[in-house]
Amino acid sequence: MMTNKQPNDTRSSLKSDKENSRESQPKSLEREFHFSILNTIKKNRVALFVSFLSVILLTFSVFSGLFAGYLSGKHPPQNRSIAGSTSTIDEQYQMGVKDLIEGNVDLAQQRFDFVLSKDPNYPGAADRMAETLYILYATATPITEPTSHSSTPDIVSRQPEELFVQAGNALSDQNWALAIDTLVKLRKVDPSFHTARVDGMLFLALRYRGIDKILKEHNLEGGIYDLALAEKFGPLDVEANRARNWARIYIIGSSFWEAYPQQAVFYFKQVAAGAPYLQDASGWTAKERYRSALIQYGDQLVKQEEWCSAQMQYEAAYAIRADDRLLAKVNFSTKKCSPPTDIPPTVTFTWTPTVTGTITVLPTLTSTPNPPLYSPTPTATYTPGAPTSTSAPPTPTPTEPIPTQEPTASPQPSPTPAPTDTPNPPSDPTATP
Amino acid sequence: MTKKRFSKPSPGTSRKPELSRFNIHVFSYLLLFAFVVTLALLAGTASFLISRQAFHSGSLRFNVSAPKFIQQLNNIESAQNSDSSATGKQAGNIDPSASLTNLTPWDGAGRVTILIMGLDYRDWSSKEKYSRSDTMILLTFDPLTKSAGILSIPRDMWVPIPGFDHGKINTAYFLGEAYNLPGGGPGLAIKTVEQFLGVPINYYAIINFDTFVKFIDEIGGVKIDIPNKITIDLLGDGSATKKTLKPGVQVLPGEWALAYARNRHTENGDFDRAERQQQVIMAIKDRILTFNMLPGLIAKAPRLYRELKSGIDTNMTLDEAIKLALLIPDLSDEEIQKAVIGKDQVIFGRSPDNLSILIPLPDKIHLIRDQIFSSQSGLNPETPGDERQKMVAESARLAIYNGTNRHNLADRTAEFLKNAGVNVNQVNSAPDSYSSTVIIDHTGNPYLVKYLVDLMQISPKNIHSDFNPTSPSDVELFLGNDWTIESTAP
Repeated sequence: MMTNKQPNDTRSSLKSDKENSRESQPKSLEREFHFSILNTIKKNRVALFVSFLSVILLTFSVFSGLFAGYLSGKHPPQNRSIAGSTSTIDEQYQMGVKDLIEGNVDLAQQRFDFVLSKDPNYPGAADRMAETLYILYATATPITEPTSHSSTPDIVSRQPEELFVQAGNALSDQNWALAIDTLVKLRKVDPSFHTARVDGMLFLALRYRGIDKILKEHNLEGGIYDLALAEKFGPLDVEANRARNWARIYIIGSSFWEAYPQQAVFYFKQVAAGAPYLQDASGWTAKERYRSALIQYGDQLVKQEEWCSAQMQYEAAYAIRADDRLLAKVNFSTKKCSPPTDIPPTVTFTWTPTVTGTITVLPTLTSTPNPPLYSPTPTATYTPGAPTSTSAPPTPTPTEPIPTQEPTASPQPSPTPAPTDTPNPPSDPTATP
Repeated sequence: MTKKRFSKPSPGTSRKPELSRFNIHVFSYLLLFAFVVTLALLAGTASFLISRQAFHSGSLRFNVSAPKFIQQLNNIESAQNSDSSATGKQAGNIDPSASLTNLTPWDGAGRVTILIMGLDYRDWSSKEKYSRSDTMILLTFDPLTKSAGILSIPRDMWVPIPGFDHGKINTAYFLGEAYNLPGGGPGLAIKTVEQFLGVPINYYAIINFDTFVKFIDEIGGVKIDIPNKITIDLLGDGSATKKTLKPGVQVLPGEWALAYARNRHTENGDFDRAERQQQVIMAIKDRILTFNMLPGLIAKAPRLYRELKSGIDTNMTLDEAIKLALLIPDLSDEEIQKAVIGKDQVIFGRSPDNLSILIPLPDKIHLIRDQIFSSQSGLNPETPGDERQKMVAESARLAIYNGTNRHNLADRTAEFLKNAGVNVNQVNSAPDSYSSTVIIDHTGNPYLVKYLVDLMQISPKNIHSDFNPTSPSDVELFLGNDWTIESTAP
């Protein structure tokens, strides 16, 4: 029974559901209608809100973009510089540290210099710079702080009298650069104002700035240029002439650097004797240049198998400053120059039973180096007005054709090592049997 | 289920479908909102760029945008990163603003010097990551004397490159870029040239080929007097690019002028080319002045600037460029010194890696440099008159000391000099004896010193300078045994 009834009940219940459903249809439609309206209203409200928000957002973005662009466009160099500098400063600092570790001291100096110019308080930069300078000038004279006249106050006045006084004050302060700038300004304002006195002040400032550039800032060409300008006013004094002459010979020697070491030896020998601690912007002193040029020349002679001449160069370099690598070169060239002779087949000697005296082993190197292969007549003694290098050494082949074709290979960057390092020799004698 | 989710809601059903539909709507709105935010950001950025450009009055320093170079610059970071392991060098982006450091800003009154560089076309065309400079020209203006100078530096000059070994001067730009130094390629190139010549450089400008061509076309070409028949090679490949120019005066359009300036295949190679480049520069100046184009060009400057800025890389502001351009009409051809560091100033040689190099002869280069930079500088002596008149105008106070045993020598000398117009303010005996006459300048008196040196034949080694602004005398003269007044006095 139970089993039969159950389907009927189910059917009836289904039927009643259907009936209920039919009855409730109008209500359902009504509800659906309401829901639809509500939904539409709700949807529209949200859409309206989103649209409104979008418009606001877009408008705000456009206007703020325009305003920011206006500000940026109005002050671009400063803003860009400042905005872009933070990452650059960090980056340059990190690269400077890396260069310092790798021994690329010159590059490191440039990077730390940049960092400090942007942010003098950048953490660690001053210490790193000091470290760099210490390495850079390790073989030079005590570091002289470059005179930083650039940070001096600007020239404010436009009146010739005031400019004249300002220039005089700058001279008293030994601020040569500011004095020159002020006097040039004065000349622009009134070219006839105290003409002779202004000439004298310019002469003085140029003379002293030129010497400072050579001796303190290691800007040899810049110093020579200033002295050339000063000389147009009147004769230079003996100190200025001497500084200019050493700088000049240094630069001539530098022209031949690496390409013609024999020439470089000739010129740097003179400067090393007269002004051993004169240096150029790279931090190389004349003495170090001379030593390095000797080694380069020795290496060149080794390639040509001129062992004895090479030995002389190496020994001269070793006398300036000894190091193990150079010692190996000295020993190698010495060995090649004076190979041990075979023991004669018949040696007759008389044995003397009593030997008196002491046996002294002569050192391989003496403190006085052998004369170099090329010994030019000019001496290191400076005579003012008479350049010491007038008798030119043999010039390198001037008959080479004019270079018209650039080799296609890109240049391979090779940062300069610290001056204390020996520049890469072409061959290492120690590696040769 | 899926069907149900999208069917109409029926009475008695749970709220789940409604919630689901609501979630979909919310999701859609969020999506829409995100889209709007993105759009707003893009619009903001675009507005910023447009506005900045419109209101821009500052540096033209943007990336050089010759198509290949843009690609190069864009690839720098990735390329450097991939290379860093090989080269052992850390690399990063080049910061354009960094290049503005360490340059001496022009004060608007004194001499201004600009380094003009053209980059190597072969590096561009072969898609090298970094380019060498192909052309280096120094332009210098002296507003005070209304004079100018042009000096061309050959690309093969063998010079010390700061931070590196010696190298050809055209590699300085390359190294600055490749090592991402502060200031990049222009910074290192400027440092190298400054060190090489000793003159301060205020600005640099790197002009790409397209911009050069556009500018020449803008001014209607340049009139060039071609001295000899020359075959030029226009940009591009193929034989159609080869053109032959006959001798004589011709107006060359931009593309031809560029090819003419770039050509190196003449007898003296790079040196001839440098002279042709200077010829083109002068032709541009003449063109602008002859047709009185300057006012028009300046009026059009903002438009030109917009059009050309992408092809010019410089640290010069538009204002400064206009200020400099206004100097051009004041320059006569006679006041423009031109020089090329040429065969007489160099020795042809080979580098250690056997490249052709030019070894500079500094003394001879100094002469050229001084001819360009010093002869018309605002730092020239301005006192009029002959040597004596200048000395009198200087009115420096002279103290005379007798360093000899000869009686009254100082007094007699003082008398003699006073008669010549010298302002003698002190006469005394020297504490020591002097074999030769010595002169000490305390306050900078070149004219009196020169006068005395010439008159008394004082040796240069006996001229001293000892700056002392509080000294009672400007110049001190210590008479030595070599001075005999009788031989000089009338």
